[in-house]
Amino acid sequence: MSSQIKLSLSLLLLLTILALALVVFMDSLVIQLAFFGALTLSLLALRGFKRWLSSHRLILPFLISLSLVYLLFGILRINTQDGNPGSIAYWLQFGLGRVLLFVNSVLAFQLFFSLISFDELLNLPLKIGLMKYVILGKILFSNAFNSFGDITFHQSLIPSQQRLKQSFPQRFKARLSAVLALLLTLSRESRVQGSQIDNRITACHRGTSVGTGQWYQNLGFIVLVTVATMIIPIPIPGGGFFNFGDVMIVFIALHAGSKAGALAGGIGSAIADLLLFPLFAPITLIVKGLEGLLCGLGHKSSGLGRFLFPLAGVALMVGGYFLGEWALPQLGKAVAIADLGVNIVQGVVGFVGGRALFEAAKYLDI
Amino acid sequence: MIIEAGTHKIWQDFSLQVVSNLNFGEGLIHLKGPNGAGKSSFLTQILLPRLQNNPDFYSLYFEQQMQLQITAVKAYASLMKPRMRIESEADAVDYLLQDLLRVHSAEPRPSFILMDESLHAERVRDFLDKNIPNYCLVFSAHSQLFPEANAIVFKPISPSLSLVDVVTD
Repeated sequence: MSSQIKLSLSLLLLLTILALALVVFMDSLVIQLAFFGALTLSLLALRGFKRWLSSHRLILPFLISLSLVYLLFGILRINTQDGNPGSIAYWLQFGLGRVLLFVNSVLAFQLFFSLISFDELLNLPLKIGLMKYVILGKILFSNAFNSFGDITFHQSLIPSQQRLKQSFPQRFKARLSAVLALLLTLSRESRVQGSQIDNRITACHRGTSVGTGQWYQNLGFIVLVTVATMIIPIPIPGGGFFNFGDVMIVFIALHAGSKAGALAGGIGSAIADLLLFPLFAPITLIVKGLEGLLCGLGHKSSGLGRFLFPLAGVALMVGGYFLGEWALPQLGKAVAIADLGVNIVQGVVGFVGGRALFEAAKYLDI
Repeated sequence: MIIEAGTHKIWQDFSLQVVSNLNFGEGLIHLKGPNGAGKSSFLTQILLPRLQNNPDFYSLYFEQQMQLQITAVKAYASLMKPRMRIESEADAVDYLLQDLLRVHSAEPRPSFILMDESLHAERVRDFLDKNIPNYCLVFSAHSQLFPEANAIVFKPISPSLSLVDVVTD
C-alpha cells in the first residue's frame, strides 16, 4: 500500500512541476530560475554531488549548442514572437529561459526517478496480464545493461579488433555487431523468460489466457530500442544525441513487421527520452512510432520495397522531428533547426545500419 | 611481460601477493590452485588489463562458460563474413584462432592466449603450435594438461589473500 501512495505522490509532484514549469510559467525567467534552484537542491540532497554532476555530462553539449543557435538568432536579427526583429540581448534572454526550461524538464524526471524505484512498480496491485510486462521488462533491462559490457569486452578481444588501422566501415560494423549481439542475447532471454512466465500464469492463475507469446517478443523489441538508444548516447552539437535506436527500429520493422516496428519504435524510444531528454518524448512517441510503422511495410515486400519503405521511414522521422519541434512552444524553431542535421545523420545511420543488420540476421536465429 | 612482485589488490576484500616477479614470455604456463584461490581473478584483473588495447601484443581470452562469448563472436562474424555459421563453442574458438592467424600474418606480434578452465585447451594448443610462431598460452586447469608447462601456484592464506609463486622443483 505504501508503494502505491509513494508512487501516486511522486507522480503528482512530477505532474505539478511539469505543469507549472513547462506550461503555465514557461516564459517566466524568474520562475524557471526558481525551479532550477529548487530542483537542483532537492537532487543534491537525494543523490549526492557526484551523481548530480555525472547526470549533467549528457545534456551540457546540447545546452551549449542551443545557446549558440540563440546567439546566431540574435546576430541574424530573427523575428521575435511579436514579429519584430530580435536583438542579441532579446534572443540570449529568451534562450536562457528555454535552456532553463529544458534543464528543468530533465531535472524533474530525475527527481521522480530518484524518488521511486523500478521495484516499487512490482508492488502495484496490477492484474497479472499487465504485471507480466513489468516483471519481464525489469529482467530484460537489467540483463541488457549487464550483458552489453561483457559483449563489448569479448568483441574487443577479437584479433581483427586489435589491429591499429581500421577503416571507418570496419569500425562501424564492429559497433553494429555489439548491437547485434545484444539483439541475439535479448531475444533469446525474452523467449526463455517470457515462456516461463506464461507457464507460471497458466499454473497459478487459472482462467487467464496467456496468448501466443507475441507479447514477450514485442516487449523484447521495446527494451532493445530503449537500450540501443541509451547505451551509446553521444551528444551532438545542436541537440539530442546520436545513438543506435534508429538502427534497431529499422531492423525490427523489416524483421517483424509494422506492428512490432511501431510499438518498439514509439514506446521504446519514448522511454529512453523520458530518462534522458523528456521534452522530446511526446514527439518521439508519435514520430518514431510512425517511422517503425512505415519501415515495417517493407517486411513483406520484395527487394525494392525493403529499400524504399525504410528510406521513407527514416525520412519521415527527420521531417516529423523538424515539424514537431518547430510546433511545440517549449522547444521551438531554434531546436528544430539545431536538431535537423543530427537527425539526418541519425536517419542515414539508421537506414544503413538497420538494413545491414537485417541482411546479417537472415542467417541467424532471432 | 612482467608482473611485478608485491601485493595486487583485486577486489575490495581480496588481494593476490605475488612472491617474486613473474615473467610471461613464450611457452605454456599452468595456473594451479584450489577453487577460489584467485586464478580467474589473476587472468581477468591482472593479465588482461595489461594486454587489452596494448598494440605490442595480440590477446585472446576463453572463459569456462562461453555462451555470451559465442554470441559476441557470432554477431561479429555474421557482419564481417555473412553466411559464416557459428553455433558451438568449437566454432567460436576456431573463428578466433583463424582470425588471429589472419592478423598475425599481416602484422606479426607476440600473442597471449588466456584460458580459464576451458575445455578447448588442447585444440587451441595444437593450432598455435602449427601456425603461430611466438605465443604464450596461460591456462588455469585442475588436471595436468600439458606436463611440460611451467606452473604458477595459487595458495590461499586467508579468505582475503592468496600467495602466487612459480614452482621451482
